[in-house]
Amino acid sequence: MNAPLRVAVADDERDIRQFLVQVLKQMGYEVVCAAASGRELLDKCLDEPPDLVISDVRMPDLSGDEATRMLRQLHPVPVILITAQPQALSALDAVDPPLLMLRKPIGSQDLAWAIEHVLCGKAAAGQEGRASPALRPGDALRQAPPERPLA
Amino acid sequence: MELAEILAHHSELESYVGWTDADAEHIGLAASYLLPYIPQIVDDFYDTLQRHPATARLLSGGAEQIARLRRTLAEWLMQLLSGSYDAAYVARRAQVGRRHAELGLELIYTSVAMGRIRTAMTQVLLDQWRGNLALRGQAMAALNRRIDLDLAIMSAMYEAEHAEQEKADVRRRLEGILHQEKSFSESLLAHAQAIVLVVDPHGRIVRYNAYLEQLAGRPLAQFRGQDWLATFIAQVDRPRLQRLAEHTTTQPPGLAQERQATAALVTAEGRQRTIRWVATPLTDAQSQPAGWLWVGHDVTDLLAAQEEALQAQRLATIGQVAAGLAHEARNALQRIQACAEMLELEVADRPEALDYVRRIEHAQAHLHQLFDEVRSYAAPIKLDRSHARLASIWREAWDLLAPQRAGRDVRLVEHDALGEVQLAVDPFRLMQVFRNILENALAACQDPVEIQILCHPAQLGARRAVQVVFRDNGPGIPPELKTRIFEPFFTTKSKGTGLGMAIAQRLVHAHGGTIQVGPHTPGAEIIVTLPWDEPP
Repeated sequence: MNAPLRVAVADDERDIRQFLVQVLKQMGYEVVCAAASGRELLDKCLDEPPDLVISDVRMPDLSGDEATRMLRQLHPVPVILITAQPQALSALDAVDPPLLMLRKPIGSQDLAWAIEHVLCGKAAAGQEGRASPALRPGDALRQAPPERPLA
Repeated sequence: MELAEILAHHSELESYVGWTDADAEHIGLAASYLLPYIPQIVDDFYDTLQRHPATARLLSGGAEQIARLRRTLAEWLMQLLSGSYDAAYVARRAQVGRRHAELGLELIYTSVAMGRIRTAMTQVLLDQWRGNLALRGQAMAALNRRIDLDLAIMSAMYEAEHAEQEKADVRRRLEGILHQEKSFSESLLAHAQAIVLVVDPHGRIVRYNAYLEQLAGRPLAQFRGQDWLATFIAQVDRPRLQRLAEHTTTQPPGLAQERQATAALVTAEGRQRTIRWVATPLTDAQSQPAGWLWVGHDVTDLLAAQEEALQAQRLATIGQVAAGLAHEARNALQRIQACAEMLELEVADRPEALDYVRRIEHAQAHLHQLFDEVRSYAAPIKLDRSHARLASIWREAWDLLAPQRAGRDVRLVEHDALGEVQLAVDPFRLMQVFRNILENALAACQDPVEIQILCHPAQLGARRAVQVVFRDNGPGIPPELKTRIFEPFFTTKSKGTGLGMAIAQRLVHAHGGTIQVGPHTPGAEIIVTLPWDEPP
């Protein structure tokens, strides 16, 4: 029997953090860290990297994209970033290890779909699996070029 | 100068020089001496004329002309000696004076010539007279008086004719200037890129320029004399221009703005152009009202450009607001979603509570959709064109609506003559357009729903186009809402964002096409027209 996947989550919103933890546990994953900031995420994951990081982008002291970028310089961890700002949905996608951007709001189904894609190595920017009216895959990609590509 | 006037003048001169019937008799006596010498006098006269450069130029007609003139002079001399000086005689003398003026022969030469003839005749009488010398003196005096009278009539006529000629010259010059002015203003009228229209005091068309003929598609020849408002102006705007016309005649001339009004011009094809009209009252030479001059500028394109700029500004504002709200609003939506899902787990065993949670989730989803649509509506559109089949695009849109169709009695009927044609469009964007139209139809119609799609060739201005027509069997669109359904945030649905058709319109416009509500009833008809040829 395989050990459950070890997931680290980070979000400065308590409600969302709690939601992520609950949903992930229900899906059968082990939540090894529930950080309230990018720095806390880094602190907890640098020595003992998880199998997957799910993080909010805009957080106090260190943003999610910065924290995961630094983490990934040391450990090739797959990452799912959740953001409210569509323009942040830029070409941050990476295939190895995978990085996926999700736009808020997301539900448990979106999360399940995203984890499956990241773990199967199908990462790409965008949210093809979600029926989102008036939004197309790669839409945000065309609006603003990335200022600091992470991957 | 009229003959009666000349005759009156002649009588007056006769009395002035003391001419009597005895004089006529004395000339008759002299005639018997002089008649044989007429050929000699004529020869001498023309020899002299030909020798003198100023007079020789008048004899450019060659021998034939000189022969004719000699005959004329001989006749003239015989008339002089005839002893009969009636009206016909005076008229002939007057005619000579007129002729000289026409030829441009200066009066001084006539005087000199008369002097020469006088001298020649005197010489003949001095040489040839036989008998009573006193009688000879009276004959010579009578002849002199007659020659003086002849000269006076010729001079008077000459001067009158000369004055006439000068007047005619001035008139010709003025006419030349007027003609120049006229052709200048005609060409100005013909080429002016503005409407120039003249109407009489009753508002009937007097004339208008080529620009208006072309703009309205109405030739002047056909509409001259017609009421100008009824001919050109949209009914609703007629009273306004009527009032403006009256205002210009009753008020002192003021600022140009007070003489302006905007009114729609209706072309022969029934199209409307927006014209800014300026009215100027016209008066005739007696300062009586003679109608109006209407000058009109076509501001249709200007207004359209202004409207477009305003729309772009509006969109940019919406975009800014949407972007500004996005972050916090999405975080809030995320919290609602997270809490609702957690609550859902908490109350999984309580169906009533679960129902409330689901309703919260629906409300959240709706708010989420609204955000996406506002963003989509306000965002700049950049098309990603590729060649695509229209039928494939609407079928894909139809497939995507499977959830909305589930459990309903719905039929899609395609009559596509052209559905398989390939068009250079953005398939994803066009799919959004078709989906919005189909979604509206599904929402508006009661089961059984039948939606028909017709696809056929059309024109888009001068361009070849394809028309995709969607017809449903629903309640239709009331006439007053036919244009309003494309306004943002306009909706008849209880659940719509009111942006679906506004987005559809933006996307179709981005393709260079049009979208409108068609006239077909019963049910609603939406017509999408897309250019067939390659975009530039």
